[in-house]
Order: sequence, then C-alpha cells, then structure tokens
Amino acid sequence: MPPKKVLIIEDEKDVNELFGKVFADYKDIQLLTASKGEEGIQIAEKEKPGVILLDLRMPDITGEEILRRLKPLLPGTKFLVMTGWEDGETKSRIEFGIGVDGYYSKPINLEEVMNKILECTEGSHDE
Amino acid sequence: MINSAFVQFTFVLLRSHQKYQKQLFLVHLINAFYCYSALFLFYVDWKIKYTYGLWPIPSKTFHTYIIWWFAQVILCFFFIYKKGIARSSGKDKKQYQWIFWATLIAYAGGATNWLVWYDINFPPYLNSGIAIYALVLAYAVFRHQLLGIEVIVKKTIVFTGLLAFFFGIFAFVTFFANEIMSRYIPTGRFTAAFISVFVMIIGYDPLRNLLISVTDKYLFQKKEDIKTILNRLSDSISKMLDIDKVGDTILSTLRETLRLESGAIILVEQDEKSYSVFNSFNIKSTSIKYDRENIFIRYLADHKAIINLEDERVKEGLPVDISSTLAELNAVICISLFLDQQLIGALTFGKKKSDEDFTQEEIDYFPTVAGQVAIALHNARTMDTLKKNQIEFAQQSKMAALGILSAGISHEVKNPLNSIKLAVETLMFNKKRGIYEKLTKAQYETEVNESIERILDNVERANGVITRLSQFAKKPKEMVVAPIQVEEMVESALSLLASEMRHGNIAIQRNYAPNLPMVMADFHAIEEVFVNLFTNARHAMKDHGTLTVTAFQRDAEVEVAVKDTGEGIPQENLEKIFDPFFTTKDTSRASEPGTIKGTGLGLHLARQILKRFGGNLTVESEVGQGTTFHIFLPIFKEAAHAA
Repeated sequence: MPPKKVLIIEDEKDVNELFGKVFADYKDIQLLTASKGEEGIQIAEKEKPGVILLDLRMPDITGEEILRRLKPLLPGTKFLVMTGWEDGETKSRIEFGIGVDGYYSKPINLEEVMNKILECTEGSHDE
Repeated sequence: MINSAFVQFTFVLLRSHQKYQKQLFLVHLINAFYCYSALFLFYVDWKIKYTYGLWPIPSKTFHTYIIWWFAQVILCFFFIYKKGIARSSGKDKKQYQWIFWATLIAYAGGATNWLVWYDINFPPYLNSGIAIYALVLAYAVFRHQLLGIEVIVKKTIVFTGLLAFFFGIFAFVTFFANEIMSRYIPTGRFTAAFISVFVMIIGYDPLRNLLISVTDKYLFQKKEDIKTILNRLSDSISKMLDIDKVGDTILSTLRETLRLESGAIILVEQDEKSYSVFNSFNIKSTSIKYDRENIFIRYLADHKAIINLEDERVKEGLPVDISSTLAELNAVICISLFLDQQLIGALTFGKKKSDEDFTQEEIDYFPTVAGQVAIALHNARTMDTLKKNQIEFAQQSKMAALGILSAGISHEVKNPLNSIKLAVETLMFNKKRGIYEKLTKAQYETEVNESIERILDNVERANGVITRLSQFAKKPKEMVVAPIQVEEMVESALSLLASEMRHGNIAIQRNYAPNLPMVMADFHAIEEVFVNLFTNARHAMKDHGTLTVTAFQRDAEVEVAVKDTGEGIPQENLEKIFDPFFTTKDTSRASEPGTIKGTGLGLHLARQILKRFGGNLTVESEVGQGTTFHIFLPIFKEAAHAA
C-alpha cells in the first residue's frame, strides 16, 4: 500500500521541520512541505495529498487563495487551516464560506492537530 | 510762632493757602507782634505759683493774646474737620484724621501751659502731648505716606554730606595752608579761604550728584520706576510660550519689585466653566475654585475697575462676600484680567512688606499691566493647548499606524510562540510514543539541544517584536533633540515593517553612504516618519516590489530617499498629499488582513515633524513607476566641525 501523503504549506521553517520530526515515525505517511503558496499549489496538483495543512498568511499568496484554487481540483482532500490571525470575520469566511475540515489558531496544539491529521488520513484516499 | 506755623500748615494742607494769602499774612503779622511783645507786654510781675517755681502774672495784653490764640486754634481745627475730613474719603480722609487727632492731642497738652497763668492748679506736664504728636505723625508718615518721607530722608542725607564736605574742605585747606604751605611760601588767611572756596565750587556739583546716586542706590534701590519694571515684565512675558513660566515670571517680578507679601493669579480653566488659583505665593489656600456664577467672579466681570482695599471708601462699599474672598487670597488689590470683554482671571496683590500703601502712580499703571498679563497668559495657554493637541494628534496618527501594523505584529508574535509550543510538544509527543528509547544517548542529546536552540531563537524573535512595538507605541512626551545616527534610525523603522515587507514580497535595498554624519532630531519622532513612509510604500506596492532606501550627505543636510516601485501618485494629487486628511486609502474599518486604514494625517504630520527639526519632506512620483520621498535633516554641527 503506497504511503498516504500529507502536505504542509507554511512559510515558518520551524513548523515544517518539527512536523518532519513527528512524522518521521509514521512509516505509512509521506510528509511533503512547501514554504510558499505557489510552491504548495504545484506540489498539491502533482502529488494530490489526502490532507493539506496550510497557513493563511504566506509571502506570495494567501491561504485563502490557495483554498479557492485547490478545493475544486482536489475534492477528496481534507483541508486543515492554521493561522496567527486573530480575526473572527476571516475565520467564519473560511470555515463556513469556503469550508475546511479544521481551523486552528496559532499557537496550535500538536496532539490535537496530529489526531485530526491521522483521522483524516484514515478516512481519506490519495487521489 | 507755633500758631503761625499751624495756621499756615492747615491752609497748605487744605490747599487754600494761595486763596487766603492776604489773610494768612495778617495772621502772621499779628503773631509776630505778639511774639515780639511777649517779652515785656504779657506779664506785670512774677510770683511763685504752687510747686512750679516762678510764674508770670498775666497782663491785659496777655488776655487778648489768649483769646487770639484759641481763636486761631479752634478755627484751624474747624477747617480741618469741615474742609478736610468731612469732604474727603479713602486715603485723604485718613490723612486728615491722623493730623486732626494728633494735633488736637498736642494742643490739648500745650494748652495746659495757660492754666497756671490764671491760678488754676493743673500742671503743665501735658506738654508731653507734643512729643506724642511727633510720634503719631512720624508713624503716619511711614504707614500712610502722609508726607514724602523719602524726599525728606534723601535731602537730609545729601545736605549732611555736602555740609560735611564744606567743613572738611575748609578745615583741611586751612590746616594745609597754615601748617605746610607757610613753611615754604608766605600765606595768609585769604589764600586759605580762596583755595577752600575754589575747591568747594569745583567739588560741589560732582559731590552732590554722587550723594544723590548713592542714596538712591542703597536706600531706595527697590524704587525703580514702576513703568520701567512693568514694561520689562510685559516685554519678557510676551515672548514666553510656556504658561507656567509666564505665571512664575509675573508673580516673581511683581513680588520682588513691589515687595509684596503675597500675590496670586486666578485664571479661567480650560473648559471655561470655572476659575482657580493658577499661581500664587503666601496665600492661605491655593486650591480655591470658583464657578462662573460665583459672586466674586460675577463681581469681577461686572466691575472692570481695580478693587483697592487700601481705599477706605472702596473697602466700605464692598459686599461682604467679596471682602471675605479677597481675605482668603490675602489680597488688598484685585485687578480683573479681561480679554475681548471676557473675564479670563484676576491678579491679586497682598500688602507691601514695608506696610506702605500702593502709590497712586502704581495703581494708575496696573490696568496696563493687567492687559499685558491677560494677553501673555492667553497666548501661552493657546500655545500650550496647541502643543498638547499636536502631541495628541501625533499619537493618534501613530495609533492609526499601529492599527495597520498590529495585524502583522500579532502574526509576528504568534509565529514564534507557535514554534516554541510545537518544539516542546514534539518532544513530549515523540517521548510518549517511545521514539527516544530507540536512540543512542548522543542522538537523544542532539535532539534535545536542537529543540532548546529552536525555543531560544523564537523567544528572542518574539521579544524583539514586542520591544520594537512598545517603543513605537510609547506616548511621546516632549521631543528630545539629540544627535542621531541615520542608519540606526532607518533600520529601527524597517525592522517594524520587516514582516509586512516579507509577506508583501517586497525586497529591501539599502544604500547608505559611508561615514554619514549624525543629524539633530528626536529619534522616535523621525522613526515614526519613516514608519509612515515605509507603510505607504508597502501599500503602494500591493503584492511585490522593491523598497530602496538611500542616504547621503548633501551640503549641511543628510538626505534620505525612500523609493518604492509602486503604482505612483498622479500629478494632480502630488500637491495634495501633504494636506491634512488627504488620503487615497480606504478609510473604512479594516475588515480583512492586509486592508489598510488611512487617516490622511501621516504625510502631513511627517512633514511637520521634519520641519520642526529644521528639515523637510518632498516627493516625486510617476504613475506606474513608483514614488520617491526625500527626507532632509540638518547635520549635527559639532560632528560636522569635528569631521
């Protein structure tokens, strides 16, 4: 069985590295990381990961823009958002407008997010 | 003789001596006659009376003299009462009263002389009444300026000095001529006298002037001309812009020159609803406050004249409430301060330390002073308000800028916090899953150390963001003008926007000329200007671009050019961007990340701030190409010379 793919799009180097350390022990999951929005979209289009965890604020394009572009392309993919923005309007627009499977405010709780990612990978199939 | 003097004095006092010149002459003539005849016409013989030794037995002439004596005295007292006391008021009335009673005591005492003449056993000891008279009048002279005491003292000193000089010269010259010169050349008295007179003539004028100036200087030092003092006062306060300083200067000048015991400035409050003691010395309560409807304030507003409690008539006519208010302020003089028909306050003076009354000349000049004091206080307060408003204004625009920055800054803080938390939680998560058990001790330590470093780095990062933010948000107090390093200041401003720029995909280029001289300005104020310009540049460049900061010396200034590759400003707006409240930004509430709220004050304030330090702000722009702001700041002079 091919490993399930998880993509993290986040410009914070630490976050990508730390998730790398966590996922190192999960042999059935392949972790992909992108530090810019456009790079993330390219990887997502190519690898079609089952779960995408993304930051909202990116140097090039916003997470919101990424969601708008990827969601139609990847209907089977679960989208999880993490952000440092303390903004209720943005949150409701993304959670209820665009629709995501999880919305986490920074600083996030690793165990909570991991459980969600694992739950999503169980139920999802890479396309 | 005494009567002659008294009659003359009475008429002079009542200012009618010229009108009754002939009558007075006649009185003096009669008195002279009696004076002359007293030696042989007043008595027929001498005899021992009671215990008073030999006493003359009065003649018929003496009887006529007694009648004449009493007629003069009674007439004089009648005149002083009728034409003096009854017709005058205030200080004049007081003067007449003092003279009337003092003279009456003296005459009552003196009159006891006559009783023994007529075999009435009443001792003539009350002659001492005359001594009381002298004392009373001397007191009155000091207390109520009954006479120009200073003139008397001055003249006495000058006269004594001159007299001493004449005697001294005469004695010295005579001694010199007789004892020394005569040894060599024959000299006589005439030679000595001649030389003395010569020296006296030559020395008289210079000595007299010297004595006058010395007495003026040491005895009447404070007696500078009131006009000179007050002109100097109004001159210095009109140039002051600090209201507290104006208040201090007014009171300390008046206190020293008029030698006041106490004084106060009452000033309308900023809200114009009440009046309070603004500045004072030696008054009982400094926290007094009067509202607009207070009877004292209303009285001041209605009566524009000076309230002078040293004037008995004024004192008597004053409502009790006003008197008690003035007593609270230890005031004997109260001058209302008006500006444009509006009562803005009052100036109150306590009595003089010397116990002297205020002179008419001083009182006449007080309204002029009041006018100037009112203007100076008003101007200083306006400046004060302006200054406070400007600080408030600057703070508001800064807060607006902060609003723009805050989203980015919160992001900047949340990210390091997120990394710290994740680093710790990764260790815990992996430990729970038994991952570290599979590692060697060295591998495990590397893992832990890596996490510790990651945590420390992020703590530093978060701390830096917060420090910069709090420095920027700090409410400005008075500006501190000091030499500052341009690069340091520009970098400080850039660091605040580093996150914004990175997310906006904006590259930053720095071209600082080597050995840039320092400039004179307030670090935080200028930093704010740059934050403003960088924020504008960031906004102009939307999603990508290059911000170029160039700094170099141009003549006596350092020029910093802030160039963006943004959309540029249309020519028609270029002139307007420095106007207050001009903005092209969305002024509605920021509703999403990246939305920038503009106040339209940023550039206006930026230019104002720079001009305040002798600098300037100019702009050039081309639509589609970008905008360049040029900041000019004067070079710190000492550094320029040293270089």
